[in-house]
Amino acid sequence: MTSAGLRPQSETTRGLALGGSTAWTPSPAGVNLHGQTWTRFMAFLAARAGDAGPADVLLHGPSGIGKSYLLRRFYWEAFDGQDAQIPLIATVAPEPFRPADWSRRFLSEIAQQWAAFVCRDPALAEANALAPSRVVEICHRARLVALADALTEFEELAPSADAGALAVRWAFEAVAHAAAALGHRAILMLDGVENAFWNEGGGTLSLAAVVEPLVDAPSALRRIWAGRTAPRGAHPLLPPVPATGDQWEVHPLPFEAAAEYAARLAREVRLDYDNHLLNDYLSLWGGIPRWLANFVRKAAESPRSLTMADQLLQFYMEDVLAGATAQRLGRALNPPVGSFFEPAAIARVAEKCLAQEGGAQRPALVGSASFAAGDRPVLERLARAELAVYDGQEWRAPDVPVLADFLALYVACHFHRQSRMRSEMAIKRRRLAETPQRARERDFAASCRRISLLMHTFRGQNVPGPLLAAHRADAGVQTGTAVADQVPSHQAATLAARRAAPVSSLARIRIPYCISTFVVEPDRGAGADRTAAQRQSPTGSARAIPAVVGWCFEEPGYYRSEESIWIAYVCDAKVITTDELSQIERTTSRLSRELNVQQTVSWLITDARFSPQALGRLADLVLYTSTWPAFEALGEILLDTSRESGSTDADEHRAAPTRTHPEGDADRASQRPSGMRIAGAGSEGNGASVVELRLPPRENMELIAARTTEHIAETCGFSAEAAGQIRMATLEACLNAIEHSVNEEKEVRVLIEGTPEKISIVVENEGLVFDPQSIEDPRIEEKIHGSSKRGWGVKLIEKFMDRVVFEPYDRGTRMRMEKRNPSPARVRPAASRT
Amino acid sequence: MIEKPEVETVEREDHAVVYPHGYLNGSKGEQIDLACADLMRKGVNRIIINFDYAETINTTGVASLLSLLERVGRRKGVLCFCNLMSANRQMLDVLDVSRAVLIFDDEEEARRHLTERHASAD
Repeated sequence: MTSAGLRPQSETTRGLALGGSTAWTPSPAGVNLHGQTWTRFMAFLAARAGDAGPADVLLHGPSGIGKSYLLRRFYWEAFDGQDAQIPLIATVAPEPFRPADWSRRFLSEIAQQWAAFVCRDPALAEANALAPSRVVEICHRARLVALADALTEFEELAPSADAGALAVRWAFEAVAHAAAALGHRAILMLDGVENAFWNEGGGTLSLAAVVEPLVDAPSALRRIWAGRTAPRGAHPLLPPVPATGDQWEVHPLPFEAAAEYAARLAREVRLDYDNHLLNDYLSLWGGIPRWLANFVRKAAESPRSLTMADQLLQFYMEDVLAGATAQRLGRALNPPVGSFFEPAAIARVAEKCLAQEGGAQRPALVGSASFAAGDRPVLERLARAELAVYDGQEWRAPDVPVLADFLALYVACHFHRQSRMRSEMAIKRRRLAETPQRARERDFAASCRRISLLMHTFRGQNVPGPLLAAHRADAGVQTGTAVADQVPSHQAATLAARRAAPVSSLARIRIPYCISTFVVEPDRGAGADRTAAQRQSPTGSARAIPAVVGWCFEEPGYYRSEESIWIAYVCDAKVITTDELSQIERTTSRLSRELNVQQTVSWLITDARFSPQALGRLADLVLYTSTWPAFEALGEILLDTSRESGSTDADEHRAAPTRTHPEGDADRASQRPSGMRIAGAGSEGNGASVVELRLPPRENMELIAARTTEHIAETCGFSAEAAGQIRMATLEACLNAIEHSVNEEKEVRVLIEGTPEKISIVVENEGLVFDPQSIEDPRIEEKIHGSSKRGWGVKLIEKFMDRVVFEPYDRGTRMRMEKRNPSPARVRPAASRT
Repeated sequence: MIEKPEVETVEREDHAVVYPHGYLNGSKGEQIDLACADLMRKGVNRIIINFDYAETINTTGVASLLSLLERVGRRKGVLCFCNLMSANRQMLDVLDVSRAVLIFDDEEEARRHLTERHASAD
């Protein structure tokens, strides 16, 4: 047998036919999945087996860890190796397990693989299971008479559990006979052996009947079992595993390997995602390759990229709720055949396990007060599904977050029926708070708030130029000295000067009247640039730079000709290089183009040093820079000025004067209500119509969003009825968002994306976190005679839309809803920019 | 763009018809409520609300209508809705409000119902 390096082709395309009844973890080309484990496993087998006696090894570990991958790799290595060991692999079918059917297939597959090896026919080995008659024919041709006879005889037996057990025994006797005749030794690999334990209720064939013939088989067989079953004694409630000679545990991938694996998979399916972000969340999947693969595949099916932590978390929650893992767990808890326990009973026991998560109340031994005697079978069931873990002392929730979260949601659904959304939100809050990326986002959000406040509050004031125009420190640029080195002295000088002189004498730059601010996602560039950005390590210097955009006018009146945007870039890199400056230029150019604004002012806020090349480039850019201390000083100065002049921001904000626009400049802005802004509208490359609205939280603003959404739905080909439903749902969502906004200074943001297939709407408010579960499901009988008649909105939205998700975010509540078009029709041309 | 509150009332022999205009939200719902309270003070307790001019109803508007329904019920009166637009009708259906109030396709049908079914009850 060889244990040479990986075969060049993707493992996803080879070997899938082998015992294909259980899912197994794919490995993209070039990824040495479980590379170290593989090497050590080979050494272990070599040491145990020697040249003489048989090896009997149990390969165990949690679901999706890569046991099947290792078995298949072992199979192909042996098949290619031509070292006189015949690889045979079979999978015990997952639930529901029917012993007679499985035995028939087992015998046929073993015969087929034996023939493939003898004939050195990889195509036959890779092929799906052939009809038994065809296998008999092939066996005869390969002179495997004993196998052909066993197969023929079995076909004549009536299907039954006894016949199944007989088939297994015959298979091994025949294999042993053939091996002895050929002078070979066979290696039997049995995958999914845990199914033989767990399905005893689905048939009469016991574990012993399936496995013992294999264990008792002649010494010409080497046996490797793989299964989720833990070693003997680890689970006091589970049946013991066969008395195998050795056990080998497969562990989750280490972080680096998991990150590399996810990155390769993402590249294969062309998933656009933020590397840093995904790395932060890898721990949620616990380094389990199959779950990572499921996640990447699912995310790749979504039209949106994974660039926001909460977006990623939403995918995670979908995985928890409806992903492949969730489906498998759901099947395990509620099998289609022979459901022994009520969901509520499972939930009751699960809740006890969950209560022990975190370990404050330890230990609760089985049979103690924590679990009643009647709980034992339920606990056993949870253990089989990997949802309860016994660590030798106590039962508790699994350490892997995705499993613990599934369990928590299962309890919420089946035990506390009203609390599912609340549970989802609680999980999201906890997970969001856990990652370093989230911490960075929180810092950034705080920065955004400070910048927004400055833009909103101090409009129309003059500010000390040096605080904003650090790069115009000519001496610094000319001498090549880092500007960052110069800035503190500028600030010190400015602050000192401020103390000595009236503020007005320092004023040079005028802050315009800002009517709204919004945050733009980082611009990573397109095509090759994007790929390059993804390849950056978490510590790389080309981190994408987010920005706060202020929509401004020179004067209090909203003249179109005076419209401009101020873009404040927040960069937390340690060194500003030309990469960062290029990125800023690109974003400025893009925003200027997309927002159709002629005047832009860029402002970089950073404490970073500038590289010499960046300093050289600065001279050519129109870019204000300031450090965070300078930013703080700016706020302080403006606040003082504001106090001196006696005006308050609130007064000015409320005034928001709307003047008649001059003739000839009667653009659409003149028709908007005060404060409302269409932040962006147009068509994306994939044909989607996208509109973003920012609404002041005032009465009747919801109508604007509702009508816009209805229009987009109709444009995308939705029926009038569906468009009406979408309108109503949007109306209610915005109504909710407005109602839960803190005050009128805040915004309600509505993002509408319509395609012929579906329409997606996101409504965000800035204010109180709205918990839909705090509202009881309204019933007409109770409402008519009750004191509160309200509380219908969420029910209406859920009825009219296909998918509704509430989630907290750092400024308030975000609601996502989606409706699919059951009959997507030909689409009218998308609305052009408005 | 933002509609002014507007509710018209037409009194007939044995009933009254209320016509809300535009966007039926919470505040307009209160106006309907007030208008109906005036009618009931005058002794009119059979009321038809004709939604022909009500383009959109939101759930705060629905809440106001439920208050009205309760008030009319306490007075042993009859409240009917008619001429609801498709989306509004759907909304009342999914919220089960249509189980609690009489809804007719048009005003004539509602009037006929009041005449035939409730005149005899007097």
